[in-house]
Amino acid sequence: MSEALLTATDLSRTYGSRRGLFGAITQVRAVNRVSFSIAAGETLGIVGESGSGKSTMGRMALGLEAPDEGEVRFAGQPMPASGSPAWRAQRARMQMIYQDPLGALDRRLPVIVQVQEPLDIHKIGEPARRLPLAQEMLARVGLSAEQMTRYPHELSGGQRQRVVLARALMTRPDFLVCDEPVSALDVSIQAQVVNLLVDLQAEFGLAMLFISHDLRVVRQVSNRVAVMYLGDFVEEGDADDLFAAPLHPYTRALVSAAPVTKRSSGHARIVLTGEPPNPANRPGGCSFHPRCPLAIDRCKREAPVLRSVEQGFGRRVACHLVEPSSTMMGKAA
Amino acid sequence: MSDQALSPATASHPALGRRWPGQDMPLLVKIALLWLIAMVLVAIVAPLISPFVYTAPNLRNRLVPPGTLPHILGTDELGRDVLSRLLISIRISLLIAFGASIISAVLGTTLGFLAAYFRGLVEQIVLMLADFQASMPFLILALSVLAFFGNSLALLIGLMGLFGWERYARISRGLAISASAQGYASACRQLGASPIRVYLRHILPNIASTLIVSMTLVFPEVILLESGLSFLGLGVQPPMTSLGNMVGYGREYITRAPWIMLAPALTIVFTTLAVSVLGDWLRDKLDPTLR
Repeated sequence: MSEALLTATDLSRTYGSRRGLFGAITQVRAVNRVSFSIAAGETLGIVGESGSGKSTMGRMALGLEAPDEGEVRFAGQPMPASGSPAWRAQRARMQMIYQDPLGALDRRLPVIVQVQEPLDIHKIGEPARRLPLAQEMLARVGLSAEQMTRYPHELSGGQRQRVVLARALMTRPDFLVCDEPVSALDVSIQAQVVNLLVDLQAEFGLAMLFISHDLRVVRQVSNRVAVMYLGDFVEEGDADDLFAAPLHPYTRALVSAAPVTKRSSGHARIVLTGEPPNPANRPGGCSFHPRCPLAIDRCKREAPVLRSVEQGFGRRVACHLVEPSSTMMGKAA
Repeated sequence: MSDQALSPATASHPALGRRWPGQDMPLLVKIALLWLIAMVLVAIVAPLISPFVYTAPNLRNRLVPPGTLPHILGTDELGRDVLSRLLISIRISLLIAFGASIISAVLGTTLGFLAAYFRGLVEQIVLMLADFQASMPFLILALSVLAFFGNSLALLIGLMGLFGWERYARISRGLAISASAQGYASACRQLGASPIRVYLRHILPNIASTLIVSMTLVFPEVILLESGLSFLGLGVQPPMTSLGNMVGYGREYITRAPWIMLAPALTIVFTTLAVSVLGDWLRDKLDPTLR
């Protein structure tokens, strides 16, 4: 895709962790040769359970962390080294929304000062114009004038996340990474913040990498969705297609586990057995095979590669059982 | 209050309209603050208000007890006016204590931030220096420096400035690392802020309360250390005087003329107590989440 805003090619990230004081260092492969691209204005949702490498991927997409292998290109340019002046200047174009808004805000400054700060940092506009701009943005995300002068701890969780959102949008970025942006909020507030995010995305033409373990939220926000398991993409495709007809056994288990208001009789829940394996001790072959209800002998020996299948546009699945031309697995869901 | 009034004219910058603590100051804190203000004023105008020249001996009026006019606080063994000497001593001791506290706070915090920012080798060196400083009795270090380099007021202040820096360094390093690893500092870094901005505008105000408390602990110790050194004859040299110096030379007359020693000793006690009380109160007040 030539118009892709952000492309990641074969990203890998390995952490070394030591067990005990004198234990040997074990290599934990948090992200394993993952490739994706995001076009301007598009949202790629990333779903996966804890420890599947979602957040690490988000940090690498922003250049906060350098990949061990592979490369991230933003607007055709390779990502500058984290902390370099070029990287800092680039922050005006790419921003991040955090899971914990209270932690992401400075407790000692009124929120309006913090929302204004990106303009001060990047020296955008005249100093006298920055405060009204910050007020405008805070009003846009739904804070009252009186709330703007408060400190973060004096606001509710939803309001704090709105402030973080306003701060991220001050420099009119092209790309936003949202790392579990609503997980820490009450369910009643989640919907409001998600709707606001969708509205703002349309208004500002943002490309987003939306990381979450909440399938409903991801489905609502994303154009495309990728499912991660132990640092691998196991399935990727159009959001509606993927949730309507999941192909990979893991995706099918995930989708079947999502609560629905009206469960049809043929919609049996697939319960996975076992725990998600330790990333430090990946199973050989397909990393999902110990828990896969459909695993065959080949899955233990050979790791499947992510490849295109016929169903849906741009659909990719990493499973031996999903034949590139097969429709057998698709109808099962 | 109108909620939607957003014109720049009506909305004042909140940082300027910040609520300043003051109304609900407890009595003890008020007294402490007044005492410190008085001490600073005395330090500034000491030469103007002292009734006698503090070095002028008057052998006819030796060891005059307090309350005898014109010597309100009496005279010492050479007939020098104790009040005049006390005023000058406060000036010198406060100069040393404030100067040294500020030097050590700035030095320690800077080194701590450098260690937190660069990590690796720089951090190891800073920590090694801090360990070295902490493991060696400061009095011995001070004695050896003063013995080798002689002494002057500037050297003494500089030397005292080395006292206690390792505490600031450790505190600021630890807090800065935890702040950068997660939360507001990393969020701010992601906004594109330069390290200087992150450290000075965000991390420093956030850890200031801890540093101020630490400073109020170091300040009395500096006063006492200076007193100790002067008492040993290595601090402020006669004819210059300081609180510790007065205590040191007054000890020989402690039975016959206790006022020579008591006046500066009480000043030391009250000043250090006032700094502690004020620092404790400030720590609570400087934290907006506790308001």
